[in-house]
Amino acid sequence: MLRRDTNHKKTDIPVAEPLYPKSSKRRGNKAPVIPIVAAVLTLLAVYLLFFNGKGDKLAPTPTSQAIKDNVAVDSSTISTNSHTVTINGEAEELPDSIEYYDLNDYVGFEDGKSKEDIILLCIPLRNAEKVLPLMFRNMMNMTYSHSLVDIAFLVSDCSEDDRTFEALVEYTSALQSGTLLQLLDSQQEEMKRSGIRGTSDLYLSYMDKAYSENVRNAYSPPYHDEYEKPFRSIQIFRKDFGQIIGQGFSDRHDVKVQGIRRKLMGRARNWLLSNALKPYHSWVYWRDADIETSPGSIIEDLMKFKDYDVIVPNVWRPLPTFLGNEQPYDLNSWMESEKGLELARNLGEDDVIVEGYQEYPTWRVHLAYIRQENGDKNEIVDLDGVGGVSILARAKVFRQGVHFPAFTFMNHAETEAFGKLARKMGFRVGGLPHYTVWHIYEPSEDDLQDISRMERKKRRLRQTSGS
Amino acid sequence: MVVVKSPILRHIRRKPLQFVAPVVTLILVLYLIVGRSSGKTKGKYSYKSRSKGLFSRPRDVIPRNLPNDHISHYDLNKLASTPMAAYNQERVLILSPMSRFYDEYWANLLKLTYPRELIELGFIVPRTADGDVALKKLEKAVKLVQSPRNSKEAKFAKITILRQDNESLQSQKEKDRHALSVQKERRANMALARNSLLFTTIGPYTSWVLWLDADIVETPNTLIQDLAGHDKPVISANCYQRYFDDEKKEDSIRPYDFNNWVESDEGLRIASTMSDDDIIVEGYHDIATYRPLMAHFYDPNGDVNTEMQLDGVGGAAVMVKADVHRDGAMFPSFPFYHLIETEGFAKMAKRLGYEVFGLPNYLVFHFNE
Repeated sequence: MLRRDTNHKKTDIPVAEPLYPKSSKRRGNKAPVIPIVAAVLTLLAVYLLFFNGKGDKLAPTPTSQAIKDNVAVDSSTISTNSHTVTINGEAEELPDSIEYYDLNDYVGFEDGKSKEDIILLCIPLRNAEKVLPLMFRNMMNMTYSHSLVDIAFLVSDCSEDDRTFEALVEYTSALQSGTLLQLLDSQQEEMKRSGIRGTSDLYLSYMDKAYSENVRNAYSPPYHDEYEKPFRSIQIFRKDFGQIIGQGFSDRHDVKVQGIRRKLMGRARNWLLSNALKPYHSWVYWRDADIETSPGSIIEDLMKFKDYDVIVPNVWRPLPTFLGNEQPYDLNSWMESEKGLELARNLGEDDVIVEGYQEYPTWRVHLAYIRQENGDKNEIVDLDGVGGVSILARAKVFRQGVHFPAFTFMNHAETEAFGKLARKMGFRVGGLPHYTVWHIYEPSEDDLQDISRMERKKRRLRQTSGS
Repeated sequence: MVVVKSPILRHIRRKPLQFVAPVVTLILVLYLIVGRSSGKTKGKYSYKSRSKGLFSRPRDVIPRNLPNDHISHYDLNKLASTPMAAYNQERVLILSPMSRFYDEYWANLLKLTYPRELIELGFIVPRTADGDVALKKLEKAVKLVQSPRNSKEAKFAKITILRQDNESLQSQKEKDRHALSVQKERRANMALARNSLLFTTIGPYTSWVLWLDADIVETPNTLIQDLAGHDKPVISANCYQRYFDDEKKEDSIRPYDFNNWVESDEGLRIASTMSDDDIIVEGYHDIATYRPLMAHFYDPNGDVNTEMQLDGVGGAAVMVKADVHRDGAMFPSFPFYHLIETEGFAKMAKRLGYEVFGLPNYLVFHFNE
């Protein structure tokens, strides 16, 4: 058995030096300078790295775990951009827990992008899983610097089997890590390959060819520089208000249900706004999830009307060819009329006027109907009521108390009451009749029946010609 | 047993300090040059980074290099406002529009016994000369409390100070303030201040909002627990004022805030005759509404927990469940059912379906000029 020779006995065969442990006698009387210096330096380093400056750190704001979701990803406290603040001429360092803002700094510039105005993008969602890919592509397509946009979602009252929230979490994580485009493209490929196509997609073959081409181009590369950049922050709120009204086209648009529905939607919007708004936001942009195409520069385009505080574009939607190719969609943007005021005077305190229904003949001028296809995109008109599909408003409007009334205000609720409230408080509300964003087309029951009838006819013709 | 043959590792084992010293020196050098960023943040990017190194650059005002994920989720379904507020760790937001800073107000605030780590403070200061003075004093006071070097004081969770963006009336002297013609404009301005403060500070973790006027200098220490304990959507304390009674030569108290009231038939009748643009304000002989005023319902021998239903509230000490504000109840700066500011707010809360209450025997005290 081989054993290392560790005894100091001298042998006949000279054993190699390295096998012997170094004798301590070798050190002699030399002072152990290097070890001491090294030890001191080590202790110093340890002290500086771990113990110094602990007093300077304040404990992060305790966030109750009961409130946050289990799926919560990184949730850093988003602080301000003004920690060295000049108050009364003296530059002072404030502790982390104190924030100071001069609201005059956040009134919103017409060239907000270059002045680095921060925008709050608010998107209410309900049973929106199917349109999320569309919505995210539109969001990425926005040319306003993504690093200046805070996004806030509110997911509310979804049905049992709906996966809006889970899908949203997945997509937002991908968005902020720059992998969303890849994810969406691969999901689209997957769907095409597996050939999953329901009968509800049949209507696509009835749409105008030019329109289909336009949509296809809008969602194809090349994309602009800002496209895949992450946003400043994303907040996702969940709150169920107890809505039991269905989300199908026919359910939503029944006139009797409108008043209740609009008040609940107002409530949801107010919850989203009040939780997400911060002192350093200069603008708030409300956006519905089901816009199909809109210019990527929409925020900059709406922002440049410096005399206005609330600006909305026109909202139309495409139609199948047999229905006329296109039609006005949002009838909630209008100018008040004498007839409308008279109607309101004769209604009860809680009655809500809804546009586009024969029960409430208001004879108002609707933004949607004064659109001209080749009109000046910069033409702006004053409005009283606005629709909620795409609203850009100065944050100041909301700071001063304008919101989406969840009670009947001036015989309106939600966005139209918002327009009236804004005007009442002295803000200017404007609409662009020739600047259009396009809502998705959702075929109604009647439309689907028409289509199936035409399909059957086509099949019959094929059979007779084939035989 | 594995014998390590590498000469370097062998050398390290033999003379460890010879290896440690240069490594440690290297670390120290790097530390001094690059500096340490303070502020423990969970994110990859710290907005609060303050480089203390020798060659630190001045911080960017707007963050440029964004983190890969800056995502937060909040389940608002789990957010509640219960009477056992402290026990349930509910966060309270105390909001005070402040045009003058009173030391007694601040001292009173510091005496509140509700756990400070659950309290957030919000102040809004007008753009006037008075505001400048108030801001300076406020800044001094908050820095003293929140400073990490002051280990005696527990820290508030967060303090937000705002400077109002709209024009304000210049004079806030008692006599001027109360001239009837000035009331409408002044209260409209107050309403805007309150709304600006409220909607930018309320967050997804706020359960209660306590509106505490900056000139309330004396309240019970358990103010928050007491008001929240009644479990009402909106509840107001009775605001009185201490003074020296010259006739009786003794200290006494008198009602101060007359904005807590119950609607009366006469009040409604007057409202129906007014034009849409007019407002009714309490406490002026010109408009005799005969509304029962909570200020007059104070009973020194009565139960301090007695509640009464109200139609209008003042802003002295009002506890509001955060959900009421989130639903949209705000302080109208325009005639809203002929009411404005805090009274308009009470009306709006009622339109949203919430009940408004007052505590006639629960006193808080206003400053005496």
